[in-house]
Amino acid sequence: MKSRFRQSMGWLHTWAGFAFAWLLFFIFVTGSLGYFENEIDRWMKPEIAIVDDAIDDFEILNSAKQQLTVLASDAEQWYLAYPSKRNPYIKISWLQPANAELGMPKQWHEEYLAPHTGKITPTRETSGGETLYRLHYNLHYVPAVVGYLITSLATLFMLIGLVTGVIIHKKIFIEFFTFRAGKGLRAWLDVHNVFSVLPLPFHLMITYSGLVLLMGISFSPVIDATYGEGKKMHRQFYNESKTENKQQQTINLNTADLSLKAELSHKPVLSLKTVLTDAKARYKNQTVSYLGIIDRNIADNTEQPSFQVWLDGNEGIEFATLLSYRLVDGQIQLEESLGKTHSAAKIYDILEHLHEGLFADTYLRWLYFISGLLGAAMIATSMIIWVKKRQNHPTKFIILIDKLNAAVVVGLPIAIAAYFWSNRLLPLAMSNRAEWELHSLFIVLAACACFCIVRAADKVWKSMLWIAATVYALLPIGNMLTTEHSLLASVQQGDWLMLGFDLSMLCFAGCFALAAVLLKTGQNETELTMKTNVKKNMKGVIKTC
Amino acid sequence: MLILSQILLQLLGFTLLSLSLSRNYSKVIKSTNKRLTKRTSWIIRACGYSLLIIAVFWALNSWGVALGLVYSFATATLTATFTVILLTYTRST
Amino acid sequence: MIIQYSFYFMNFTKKHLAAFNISCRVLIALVGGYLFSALSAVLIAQLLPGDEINSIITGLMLSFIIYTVIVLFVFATKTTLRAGVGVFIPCIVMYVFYHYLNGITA
Repeated sequence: MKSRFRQSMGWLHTWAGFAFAWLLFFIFVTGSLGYFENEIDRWMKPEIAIVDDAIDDFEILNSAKQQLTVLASDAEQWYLAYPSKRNPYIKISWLQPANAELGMPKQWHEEYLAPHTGKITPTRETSGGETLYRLHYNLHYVPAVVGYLITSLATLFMLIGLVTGVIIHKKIFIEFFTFRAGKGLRAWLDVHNVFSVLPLPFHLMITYSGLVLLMGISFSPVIDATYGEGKKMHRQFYNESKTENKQQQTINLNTADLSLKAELSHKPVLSLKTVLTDAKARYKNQTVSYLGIIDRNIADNTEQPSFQVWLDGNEGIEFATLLSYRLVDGQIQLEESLGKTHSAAKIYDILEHLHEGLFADTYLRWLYFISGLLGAAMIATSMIIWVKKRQNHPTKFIILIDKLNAAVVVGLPIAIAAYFWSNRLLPLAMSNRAEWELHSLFIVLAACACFCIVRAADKVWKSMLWIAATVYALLPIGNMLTTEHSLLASVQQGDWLMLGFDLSMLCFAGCFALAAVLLKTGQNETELTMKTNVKKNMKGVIKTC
Repeated sequence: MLILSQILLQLLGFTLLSLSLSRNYSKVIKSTNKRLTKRTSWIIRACGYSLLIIAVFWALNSWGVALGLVYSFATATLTATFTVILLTYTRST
Repeated sequence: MIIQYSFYFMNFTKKHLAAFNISCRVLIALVGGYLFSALSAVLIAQLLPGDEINSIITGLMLSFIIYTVIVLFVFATKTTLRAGVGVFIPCIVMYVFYHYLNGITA
């Protein structure tokens, strides 16, 4: 297109990046937050009692069973989540069948149990960390499929941006350590390079795996043409591709308890208690993370229920292993999954696990989060560079883009803080409370956009940064005022997740304040400003978990 | 412990790699008669790469292929970014 | 009427040639690229030996690499015409080949 290949790729890099920059910034920020969704959930449900001392697995099972029998007698599936490091609570959930009389669709319910009493802890209705991170592919206010398609398209543009970026930056490795902290545009370009090149493996992996995760929807005509058309055939395709090699064996339940043995002497009886005993005896040193019953089939006794024990994964990047117990022809059958049958499905699994990072421990989780934020910073700096390159002939359009850049780059963090604030400030009894938390996120984002458009162009970034710093700094105080969790109380109770969240908010506030202080109003960027923007986007590392 | 050794190995590796470039070398090593020769540059670069390769293989050994690759790439991002920031934004003393 | 409109169209594009070219390239890259990669995925799925499910998943996963390469190609060619030909002719070929494989007379 241009006279030389590199120039064409440069053009493509700029404009492919420009097309979806704001949406991709949104995706990167909300997605990165997903790596800490459990911690965010903890903060957004402050009523839950943390389990900090070891409680016997069977005691937990008894309390859970009591509650489930009362609340979920006709549910198809029961689940019990045991306390883990990142989720130190006891949670029961069940799949309630559709109730035509009350007009309720089939849906999941969940409740948290207090550690020693086994009573239900009422928690506020909230979207939590989970919905926040799901925004990065569902988007909002559009049907899910539309969200997936838009996200896929944006991710494709991201991939093109990455590949063209590598192509145009030929001397990538020689220039690796010779970035210049100079003035002006050159310095911004160097910062953009730092944020793009150094986490490049992460960016390529997350972009490609993101595309692959949504490939069933974005390339559904391929499934139509090769497998079959229609929803039913697609579902069949998914089920078939997910089939796993299973090792099945007929067993006698391993019972350590003599009294249990007496019960079972007549005929094999499957219950959560016997299954748990067996699993613990069989796999002595592994932690049980979930118990479940599926196909409870209270309505029609056609199929035997299957009792599931999930053990914490200790194999590479797998999350957990599943043991299924089922009564087949009067005998107890134990089924253990050995991995996916189809080799291509295994590769899909690897990409999925890498993208989601569920296997990650504290160190890797922080690095995932920081790399995600570096990606967001890469996009933010690219938007700033686009404006800076055209600053000598500013038109109204370019000034507008500059202001909207501030609205998105600083406004999105402000909106997310607003989301957290709404969790504390919205009345507990409000209907659709969870929905309104999300509404407040977007209302504040729109308000930021309006504010930025009205504000003078040379003051807009500074004002936004100060607003962000204030909003984040006040969050722990708001926490302290509206709940009983203050910084001091968290330290005393050993509630590290709550403490970590509060401290991270203060850290972000500090970064925004630093950036605001060192940002010079005026056109020339200096070395110091470079430094602060780097700091702002690096967003500090505090080991709190 | 394993993670710490991974970080240290890679930090040293990337530092050596950066030192193999004359611009950084002259910033760190401050004598007027000791300019970076091509030979020294080559040696430093080889040492840097070897340390990084050792780090990767150590990671693969400790954690298995899948997890080991994740750990080494993640640590590489951390240490390389740290090295770059240090070199770029500190004035030569 | 049609002749009048086409003259108007051609004059318009002559005046804004650059914009016209770029718009064409974008359309060829996005729409043509999607067609190209989807058709390639289908053919890969049908031509790979072995498990049907494996081939379909492989085809789908490779489609994104193909899509990216096509987009790069479209913007790297010297003229827009070459870009269009380079994308749509193989599409037609693949489409015909697909029908040949599936026994439907084209």
